[in-house]
Amino acid sequence: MSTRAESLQALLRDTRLWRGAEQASLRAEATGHAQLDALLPGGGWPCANLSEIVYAAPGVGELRLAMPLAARLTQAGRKLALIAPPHLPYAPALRRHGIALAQLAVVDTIGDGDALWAAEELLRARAGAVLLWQDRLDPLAQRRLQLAAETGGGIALVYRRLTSREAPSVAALRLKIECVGGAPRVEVLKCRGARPTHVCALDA
Amino acid sequence: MLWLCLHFPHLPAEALGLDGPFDAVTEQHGARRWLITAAPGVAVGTPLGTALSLQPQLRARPRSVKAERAALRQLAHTCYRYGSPIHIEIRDLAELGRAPQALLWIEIAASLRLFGGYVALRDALCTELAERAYAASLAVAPSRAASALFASLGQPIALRDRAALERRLAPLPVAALPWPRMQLDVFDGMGLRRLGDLFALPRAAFARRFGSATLSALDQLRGRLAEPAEAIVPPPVFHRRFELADEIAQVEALLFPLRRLAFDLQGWLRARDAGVRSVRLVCVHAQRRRTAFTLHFGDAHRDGARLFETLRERLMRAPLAAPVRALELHADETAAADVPQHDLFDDADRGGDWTRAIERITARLGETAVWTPVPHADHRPERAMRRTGDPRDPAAHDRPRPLWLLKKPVPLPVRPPAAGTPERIESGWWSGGDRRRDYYVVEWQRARAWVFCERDSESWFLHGLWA
Repeated sequence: MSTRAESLQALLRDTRLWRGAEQASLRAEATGHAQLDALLPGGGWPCANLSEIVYAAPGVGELRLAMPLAARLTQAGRKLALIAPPHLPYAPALRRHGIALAQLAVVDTIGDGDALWAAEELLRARAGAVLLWQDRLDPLAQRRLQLAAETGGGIALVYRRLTSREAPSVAALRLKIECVGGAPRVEVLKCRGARPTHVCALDA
Repeated sequence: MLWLCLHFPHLPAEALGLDGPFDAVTEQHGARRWLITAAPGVAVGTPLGTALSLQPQLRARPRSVKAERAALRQLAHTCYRYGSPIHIEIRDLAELGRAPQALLWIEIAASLRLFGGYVALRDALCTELAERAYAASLAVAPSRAASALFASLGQPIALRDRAALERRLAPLPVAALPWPRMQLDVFDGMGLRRLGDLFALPRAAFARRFGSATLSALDQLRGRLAEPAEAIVPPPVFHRRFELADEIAQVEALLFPLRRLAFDLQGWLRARDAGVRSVRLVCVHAQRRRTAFTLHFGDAHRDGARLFETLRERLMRAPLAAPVRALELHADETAAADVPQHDLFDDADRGGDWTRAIERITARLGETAVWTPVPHADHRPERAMRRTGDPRDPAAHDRPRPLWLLKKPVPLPVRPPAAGTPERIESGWWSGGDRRRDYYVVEWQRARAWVFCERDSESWFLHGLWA
């Protein structure tokens, strides 16, 4: 009996052993939503990586998801860009969320290609975070965004409509946000470094 | 005086913007034309007929002295930061088989210490010339004539004192002198083959036989006599024009002249120790039609590469309206340059990357494409935000507002389930933009929406979303 326990201990000490429940260490920025942070490996948005937020329609709380991060980055003097947003980001509300507006740039684009190019440029220019609204994003474009984020060390957040949920994605983190009973609810579809876990409510 | 002389052997071609291997420039005297830039298999000085029979692919163009002079003048402005005074000259003998010499002199004795020695100065200068795609040979000597002679012979030597200069001059052939051929033939007929032979002649006899002007020229060569000339000073305003060899319809083909203009501006700004805030690029088409673009920069800078990138993005934005004949670049607004001085811990915009990226995006997508939302003190929601202004301006809003505002209120087909106390906004009657609305927060199609009821018409609109 004792020999069996000893061999198990030896096995556990072996660094080659990968344990499924363990989370890989990952550099991340807290989302600012405590319940969500607890679910994510590294405890937030993965730095220098592409993350995706899948949403059904504007107004389900998708922008609020990123607001704590945006507020923290801009207050620390990092740059933030919103590229091709579906509506006007409203300055009084942004300020209420604690965003330092001097660090914010909104880029209006006409074509998808321009939006992607602008996102890449700004990520490479060491933006703190770049939020991009684009539904159609092929794996090549995702790869380019991922590379740009790695180069600049910022966080790339892509907002995509629910229809593209089944489309392939190379994003390090995929979240789905929907409005259930008047309250936003976040589901982790994919997270690199750990198994996608459960659903959590977003504190308003 | 210590003169650094630059000799530009390909200036006739470079001034015309020719860069193909088979492009050659010709000089004409009477009915005779000959090559003044080399082409593969054809040397400088070959008559055009012979050259064409040797190299049928050759594209020969007559030289433009005006363009050469302008290019040399621009180079002088660029070099202004390496020393002063600066002189330029295009030596034109117009004799069959002889190429003109484009020469530029910089007095460097006073700036050697600043640059940390001759080698450092030469390297900086060569890097700058290579950046601007000019081929040059250089030499340093105590007299302008001698430095030009060495540079044109392609001998990259640096001599500081006159004794060494005479030693190096003496073995050179008399035929190398840029003097009229008739004069050189006279020397040759008398058996004077080397410069040393000329130096050895008694001065009085030399002056009597060849004229005092020739003696003066020889003395100037040896650094014994002053060489007065008009010095070049950079102009107070920047305005450059680049005449294209042909009409160009493709933006890609404009990049070479564009690059040169951008670096000309960089040189001008460096010489004046200034930065540029906005530039205007004008494309000149046929029939005097022009297309002008104005570009603004986030800070006053003097970076040629940044200028070029921004101009390129702007040109790439839309196809050219018409084929372009010439490009003009004007520096509209200059200011003391914000030379980057970075805080060790400043992460926000290290090296101005962000500013440059925004400039490139603005150049490609348009002036209004990039904006910063700024709150404005107004009760009407659509006027409570502006696209410009000081983002630190503390326009107070204590009412809850949605994160998304619709660009235009969308009329709702049915009455939304609005309940509770509305926020009444009634303002603007004095300026014609009168608004009388009751705002509600409702659940609308699985989203939290900001709707209002117009009190005059009792119709409902969607105006924002709590995203």
